[in-house]
Amino acid sequence: MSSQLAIPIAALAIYFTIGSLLALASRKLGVGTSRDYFVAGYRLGGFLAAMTYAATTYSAFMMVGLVGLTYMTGVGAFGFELMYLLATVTLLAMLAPRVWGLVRERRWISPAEMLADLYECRVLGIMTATIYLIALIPYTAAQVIGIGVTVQGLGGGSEGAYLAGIILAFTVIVLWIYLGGMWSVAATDAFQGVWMVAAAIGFILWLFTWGFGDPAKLSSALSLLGKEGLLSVGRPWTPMIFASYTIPWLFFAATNPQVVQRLYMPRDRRALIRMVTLFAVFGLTYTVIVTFIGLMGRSLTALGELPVIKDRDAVTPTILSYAPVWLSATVFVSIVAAAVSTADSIILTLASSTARDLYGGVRREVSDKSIMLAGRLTVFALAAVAVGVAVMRPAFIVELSVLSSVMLLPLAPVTLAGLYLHGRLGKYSKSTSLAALLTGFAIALTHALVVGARRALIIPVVGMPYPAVVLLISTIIMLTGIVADLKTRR
Amino acid sequence: MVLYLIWSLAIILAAYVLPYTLFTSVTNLSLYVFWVIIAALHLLVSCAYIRAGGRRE
Repeated sequence: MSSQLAIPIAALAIYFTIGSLLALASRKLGVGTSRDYFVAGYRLGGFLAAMTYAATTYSAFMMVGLVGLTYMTGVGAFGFELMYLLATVTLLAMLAPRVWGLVRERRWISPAEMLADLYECRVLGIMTATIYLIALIPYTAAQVIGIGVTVQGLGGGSEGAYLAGIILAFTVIVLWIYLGGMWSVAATDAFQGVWMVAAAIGFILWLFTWGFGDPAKLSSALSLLGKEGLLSVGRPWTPMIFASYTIPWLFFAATNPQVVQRLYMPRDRRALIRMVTLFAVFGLTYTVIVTFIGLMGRSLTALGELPVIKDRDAVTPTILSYAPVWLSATVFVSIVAAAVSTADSIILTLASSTARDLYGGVRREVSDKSIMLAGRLTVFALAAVAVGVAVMRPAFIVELSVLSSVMLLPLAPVTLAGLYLHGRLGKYSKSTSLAALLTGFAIALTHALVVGARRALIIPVVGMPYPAVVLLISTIIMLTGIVADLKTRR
Repeated sequence: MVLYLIWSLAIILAAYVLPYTLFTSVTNLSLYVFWVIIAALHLLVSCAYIRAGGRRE
């Protein structure tokens, strides 16, 4: 076997072995109840909480999609990713202590259960859990496809290598969740997060020394990028497109269940503060490194030292084809790690929501043992569905994955109102929360069906960015209920 | 809380608007550096805010 193949396989084997040992060791921390299994018994330390938040948030999109997007569109791509970080840190600073405090009183496990409790509306929990499934299964399948494509790249592009990658993804996701539930997901997320950052640092250091031994060369390359308009926002980052791409991500921390659930888990307030602080540092560092790799790659193309790369997703593999094989293997494994850490976290959260809010919501008397069993079976079923989608690659489902956050956007006003006004919400808010969720979700899905998921973000609705319309309408509907309730009380 | 909210909205608004007003035709890394600086500043303020809140309670 040549070193071109042996070293990546060895790197994958090291990754799989260390991750599995960590998952096995974390089992000792206890998975006896559904609280242990889904939210680590609310006992995560600050470091584990931060790393699982970061590794869950940052998917394979960063090292593949964002590097390519920066290469193609310049500095605007950095702004796009940074808007997410600014808004997320803001929401975390304001929401995290509130959610964490309420969880200590109410003992929620799933985010849909949180909404059902805040609005005292079981139907809201069932509807939310259903929307999570529709919005996040395509996104999870996209992560599995990412793993398949990465392994396919390592295996010389064969279809067999793609299938091997998908089998690897299924095995890792199911095994690591099965062994210790949230404990093993958090432990392996921490390991994968460290691998992701270490690989990114190694990548940028190598690229800088290989491509720009002389700093003057970087300066002249950047001036070429400036002349091409890649150091300012312009085409394609018109204000409309920029808003359209960033708005869904501004509320990610309040709408995506896999990250909302992570606010339940820190063991004490100190761990919660540490989680937010470390996540913020991780996010800024990783975003700067990844986008600078894209800019440096584009600079090298401008200097004629890299070929012109036309496919966005081919930018990282093309740059890495010039790197030492051990480095490219480390970065490729970091892409697999990013995808696995996002996929297993989403699947475990969806399983908690399906078991607690769908299964437990329909059947009123359910034992904790049945919830655990339903959760474990759901993990297996969701992983199988994600793999099925990855094998068949139905175009619309795959394209729909980029719209997951738009479909979850109606949850933003419902969640924020629930958290800040709970105790003052009455029957009108309860009704409008259901209406806001249904209407917003229907608009998000209909627009994607009519214009096509791929074009949905670039085609405005009534002259406004499409996510802004979804957010605005669901917010107005939610507000009417709140105003009616407040008036009735007065 | 209100002051922090106003600060955060101002930062997010600046991150949206200034690239289309002050940095429209820059040919160096000034826009990139601007975004890094306001992000770092906002992260520092946010961490200080959550720590202060943590002590109060």
